[in-house]
Amino acid sequence: MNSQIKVVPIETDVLIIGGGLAGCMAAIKAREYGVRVTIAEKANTVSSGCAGSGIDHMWAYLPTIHPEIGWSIEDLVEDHSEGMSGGLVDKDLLYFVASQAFDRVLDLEKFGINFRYKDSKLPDGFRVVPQFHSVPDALNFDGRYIKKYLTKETKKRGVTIVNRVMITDLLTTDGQVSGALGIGTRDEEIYSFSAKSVVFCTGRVGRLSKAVTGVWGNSSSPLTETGDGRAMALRAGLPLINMEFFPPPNPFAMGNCEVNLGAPRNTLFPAGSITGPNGEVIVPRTEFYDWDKLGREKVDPAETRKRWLAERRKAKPQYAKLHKEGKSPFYLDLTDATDEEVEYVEWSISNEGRGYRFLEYMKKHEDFNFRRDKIEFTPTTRGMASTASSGLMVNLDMETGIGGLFAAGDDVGGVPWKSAPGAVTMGWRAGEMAANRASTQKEFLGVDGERLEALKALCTEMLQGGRGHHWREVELAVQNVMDYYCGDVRTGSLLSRGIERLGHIKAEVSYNATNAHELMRCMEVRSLAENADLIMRSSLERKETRKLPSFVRTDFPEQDDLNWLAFLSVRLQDGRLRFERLPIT
Amino acid sequence: MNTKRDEEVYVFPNAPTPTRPVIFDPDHCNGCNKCVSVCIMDILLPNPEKGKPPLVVFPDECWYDACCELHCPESNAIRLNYPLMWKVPWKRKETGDYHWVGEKNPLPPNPKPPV
Ligand SMILES: Cc1cc2nc3c(=O)[nH]c(=O)nc-3n(C[C@H](O)[C@H](O)[C@H](O)COP(=O)(O)OP(=O)(O)OC[C@H]3O[C@@H](n4cnc5c(N)ncnc54)[C@H](O)[C@@H]3O)c2cc1C
Ligand code: SF4
Ligand code: SF4
Repeated sequence: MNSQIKVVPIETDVLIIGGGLAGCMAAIKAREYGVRVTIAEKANTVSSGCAGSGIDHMWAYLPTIHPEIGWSIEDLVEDHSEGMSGGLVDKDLLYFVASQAFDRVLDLEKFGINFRYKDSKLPDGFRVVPQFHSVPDALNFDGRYIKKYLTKETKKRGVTIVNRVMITDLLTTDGQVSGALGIGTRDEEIYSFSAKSVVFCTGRVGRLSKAVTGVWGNSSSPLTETGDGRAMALRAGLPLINMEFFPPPNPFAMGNCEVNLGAPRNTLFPAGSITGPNGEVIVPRTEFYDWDKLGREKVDPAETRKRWLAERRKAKPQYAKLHKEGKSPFYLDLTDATDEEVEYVEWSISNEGRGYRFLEYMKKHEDFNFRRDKIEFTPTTRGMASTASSGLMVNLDMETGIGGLFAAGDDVGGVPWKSAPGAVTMGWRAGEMAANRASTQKEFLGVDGERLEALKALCTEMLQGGRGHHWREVELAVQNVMDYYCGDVRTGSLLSRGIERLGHIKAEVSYNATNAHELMRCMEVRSLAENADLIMRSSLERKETRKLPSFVRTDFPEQDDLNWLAFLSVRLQDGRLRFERLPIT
Repeated sequence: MNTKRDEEVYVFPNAPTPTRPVIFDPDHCNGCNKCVSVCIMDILLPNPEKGKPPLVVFPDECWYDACCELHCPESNAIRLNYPLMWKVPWKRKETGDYHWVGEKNPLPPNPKPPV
């Protein structure tokens, strides 16, 4: 029966798994070294991943602006470390991203993406908004079609794109990568890649929590991202870090509506504020650095940081708490803004994920107007994404612990909120290093026949599952375990019980797929279950409560920096999970 | 494409989402299938009848990201149909009245009989 599934063999020097922001950048760079480069993408690189329907801002150290006010890369790193991750961060990697992001912006410009505006008063025509740091440093840009431009560039440079293939297995031989296996999500075929270097760029982990509205799509991260990279890395024996930082359900998380409309510090800058039922301000609109002072007045970075951190702490909306105190509902409120400001915000929204068509429709057909109407907030679903401190461990060359295996973007742990700048800088470097490695590697190590047969057998079993489980039933079961045993209350006893229950679910499941599409979903849910297990076990291991990135152990309510200002790594070794604390030095 | 997906017709639970997360306008759609090619959740299939709008085969897997619409070469050929409990409401400042998506433009009733 196995022989019925056709195998498509593909040989390439560099294989990139996931053609999102990081994957496309890696591919583009790798081609500069003349090697053969292939992207295997689950969806279609033109629209896939977080940036698929647009992103509109990107933080970077701006060499033509920031030195003028006396703000250094080290200051950016310090801001990010303190404000975004409470010091729990890989500072070297963060420095790398901060120092490279602007160069990548210049590359993105070459690929056709517009970052400069005639009406700008800043040097070089940039538009800069605050976002994450004490000094505004996020460039606004026309990013609605960023994935289209990146795909065009990869094709121009001769990258082979294999869309609609979900990679399920990383292949290694004696600690070196040899390729990967995947399934065709439309054709029920197995794709067998033989490669000298492999780059993991599969992004985030979504779909681990039941959608609060019952609508599956009520998630701010793409539903195609199911932690496949993390699951494959685990099976290959690689360490993963910080898996426990899976945020508890906060129904008003991030201040996002169902469609990404951003937050007051980024997409809604300069006019967005969050208000309560009677117009009382919950999150004020963001003040801007007065660029007219540029070159004349310096900031005192340490002082600015202190003030900004204090403001941040104050302004951090605790929607859930306010809700319990009877201070809801909340509104996205731009009613005090000027026409010019509203125009700016609408431009930002129209370039960032999912908001554009929505707003356009509301304005055109429903008589909606930001100057008059306040959008009511409704709950969103949590996701691993919001901290993104979890993932693979890499060094500054994006190397993992397996020879020839690199990782970039949201697949990499240790730098929360590295976002688009993280993806483009790490992707670029990973592409360069993967190409170098492929050039020096004479031979292909060959595809592991046993693993290929095993995947065939697994697919056959799922496709003939008969009365087995529909993927959705399994996904719901996993989500229910996560929401109760690993939610806003986490204790040793709850987590242990959750791990047990998930174990029972995993043992009982037999997947049933009636076509290639469902086969992909089954494989995704398999990844989700593995991620869920890691999250619960890592949560059990971290015996403290931490403010940033947020982590709550109800039975260990204090932050314990002495023991736990550390990454927690987990790896599979001789069939057992092993944990290790890696203190931040 | 010759997969089982083309040949099989079956019923699956589809409670919380519209049966049609995207609605095609046959008068504007040219049947180019660009939306099928870019759909990130892969929920569309080309219409077996050439030139006709694609079919929605996995409606409850839509992410409502609008990539299909963003990459469609025609205007008004495809439009998102947000789920009922997702019809975003807003409050008008002066009057304190609430309004919501679909209030002015309710969608046509679903012609499909319940399964
Ligand atoms: C709606 C939205 C708006 C955002 N806006 C901004 C913004 O304005 N500024 C900013 O800095 N950041 C923004 N972000 C974050 C930023 O877009 C991401 O951090 C960034 O895209 C991560 O890049 P990546 O390459 O790691 O992952 P992604 O770009 O998400 O790409 C991952 C890719 O891997 C593919 N894939 C997954 N699994 C597999 C598999 N098994 N086999 C093959 N392929 C696979 C996916 O289909 C996807 O194409 C936003 C995120 C979202 C969701
Ligand atoms: S892309 Fe537009 S015109 Fe082409 S098939 Fe889809 S809806 Fe029709
Ligand atoms: S909104 Fe997204 S998931 Fe839904 S049909 Fe369009 S492209 Fe596909």
